[in-house]
Amino acid sequence: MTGAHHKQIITGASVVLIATVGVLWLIPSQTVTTATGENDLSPSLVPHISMGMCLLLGLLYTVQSWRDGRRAGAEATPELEDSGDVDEAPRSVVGLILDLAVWIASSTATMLIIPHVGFIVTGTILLAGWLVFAGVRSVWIVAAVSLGLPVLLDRLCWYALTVQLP
Amino acid sequence: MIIDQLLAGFAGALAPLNLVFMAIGVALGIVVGILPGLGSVTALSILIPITFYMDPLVAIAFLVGVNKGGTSGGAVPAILLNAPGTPEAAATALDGHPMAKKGKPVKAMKTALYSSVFGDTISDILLILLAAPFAAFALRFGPAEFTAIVLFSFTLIAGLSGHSLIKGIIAAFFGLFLSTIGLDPVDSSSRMTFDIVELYDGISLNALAIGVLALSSVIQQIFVMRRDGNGAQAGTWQNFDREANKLKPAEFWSRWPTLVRSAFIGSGVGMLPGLGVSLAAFLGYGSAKRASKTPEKFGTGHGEGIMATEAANSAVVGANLVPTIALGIPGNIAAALIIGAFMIHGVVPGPFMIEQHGELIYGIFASMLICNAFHLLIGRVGINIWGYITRVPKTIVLPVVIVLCIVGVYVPTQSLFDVGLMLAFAGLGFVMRNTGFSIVCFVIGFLLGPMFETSLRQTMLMYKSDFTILLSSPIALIFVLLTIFSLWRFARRG
Repeated sequence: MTGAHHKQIITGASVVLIATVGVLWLIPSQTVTTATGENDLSPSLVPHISMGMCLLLGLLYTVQSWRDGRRAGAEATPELEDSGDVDEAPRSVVGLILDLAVWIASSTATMLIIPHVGFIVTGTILLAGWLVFAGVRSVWIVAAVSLGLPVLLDRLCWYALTVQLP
Repeated sequence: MIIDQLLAGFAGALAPLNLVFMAIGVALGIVVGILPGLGSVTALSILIPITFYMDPLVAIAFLVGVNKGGTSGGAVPAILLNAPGTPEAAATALDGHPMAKKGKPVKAMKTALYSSVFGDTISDILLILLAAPFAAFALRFGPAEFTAIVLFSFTLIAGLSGHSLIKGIIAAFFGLFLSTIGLDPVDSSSRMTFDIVELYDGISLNALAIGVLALSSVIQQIFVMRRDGNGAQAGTWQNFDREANKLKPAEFWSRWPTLVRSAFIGSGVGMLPGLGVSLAAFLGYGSAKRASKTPEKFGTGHGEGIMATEAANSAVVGANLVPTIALGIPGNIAAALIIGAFMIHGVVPGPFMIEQHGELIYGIFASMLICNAFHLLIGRVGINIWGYITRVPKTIVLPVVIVLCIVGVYVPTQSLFDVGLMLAFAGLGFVMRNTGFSIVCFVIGFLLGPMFETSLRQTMLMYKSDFTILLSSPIALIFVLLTIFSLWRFARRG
């Protein structure tokens, strides 16, 4: 079984796990399960159907991936590289988790500091961080863009849209 | 009769002040539309107050210009950065960005602009000719007919799910599930809100769309650039070829059936209140792909894909004024804002509007046609300006877009909660992109979910759970048959 098949199985299992939590806990505990009128549907019906379908299809996908993995051996199926809006080659599960961790850390930091220090400071730090991360090595470019843009946007929103950024 | 009234309308619409404000409106609309999250609705909301002291014709023509420009502006970031700021622009990105990556960003933008103006013009002509009769026809669309239309729209997923249909369907059902968060549409009980007040209205479409469509693409590209180590010289399109970016008229017009089909699809969707621009864009794209002899080219930078999408979504702009002008019913949020502007200026939209304010209405019709000419001119000049973005290294452009997305989501609602949602959805979109789940199917599920549930439950309440209404109503029956035909055709193609 290849790494790509492992990734497929992990993806399918994750869908199954999320859908199971939704069907067994989230929907029953957070929605009214009985319809109010004789001809109405229960408010929980559409959430149940949608999560139920995710669960069923997730199971099917996991089993299919496991079976394909056993059968195909070292050769990956074409499906692995695909999907209309997937524009770059997929990466390993570990690489994906690491990249996601960077994004979660950046987002969490943004949401934690923005109410306290405001948009200009947060925007400057965020922009400087991502510019350097993306590969910009010129201090002048980093400084000019990360300092200039948040101030420009803040003033533009105020004067043109009368919206005060946080 | 209509010609006489229209000529009189042109006389008023060609006043210099009106022309100036129409041009400003289109330019502002395009600029605002380019910023992720700030589409024509935001621009209209912000700009309505400045029309208070204008003449009614100038005011409405200005707002119509903003609406037209804003609808097409979203194509620019979708094509250049694969960062559509609105759901409808996601369909443009499907072929627009691959074309840009092939070194033809300007050609992609030209295709989008010309198609947009074409669709818009067809839609305006239909509005002028058919406002009254079509509005009466639109009244025959009840919940059962809407249920059938939405059911048919779900078959789009089959064509947009990429190579993995199963993942496309999972993505669509997950989008559908997320669309049910908030207050129940019939009994207003809360669903999966955890008593968070900000979730009572449901998950913000703006936050979700920008997060999964635009921001996830941006962070994906940054991570890829860093991994491949080509950041320093990542000029966006090193191989820019001026000759390859020319769009010859013969090449453009050779696909006129796609343009006409999409323009009519967009106009039809626009005339029916509540369906929206995004659905028109995806329906246009889906129908062009189904009708094409080379459907495998779609999604690889095929000009026909851009044409189908842009002609359809821009055709909604004029057509959604059909129910507005004839019945006083807004076709979408933008039309609702324009109704507000009408009322500010003492004009009550509805069946008597054309009779009581005929001169103004035909002045607006004429202004809409003139606005299309401005749209073409200003949009064409704009392409040269946006073309310069292609010379700035992606290492600088992409981080800037992250900050623009934050501002774009914050401005319409001024809610940090929505910003947080957008960042979370960007993470989800990033995972989906890397595991092969179709983001477009996910967004379609989220968009169609509330329409489907509401119209289905209304149908059940109105017809006492009698589903045969879907077969006894001629309009519903047509769409049910189309749904079956689409599924059969997809199954036959394997």
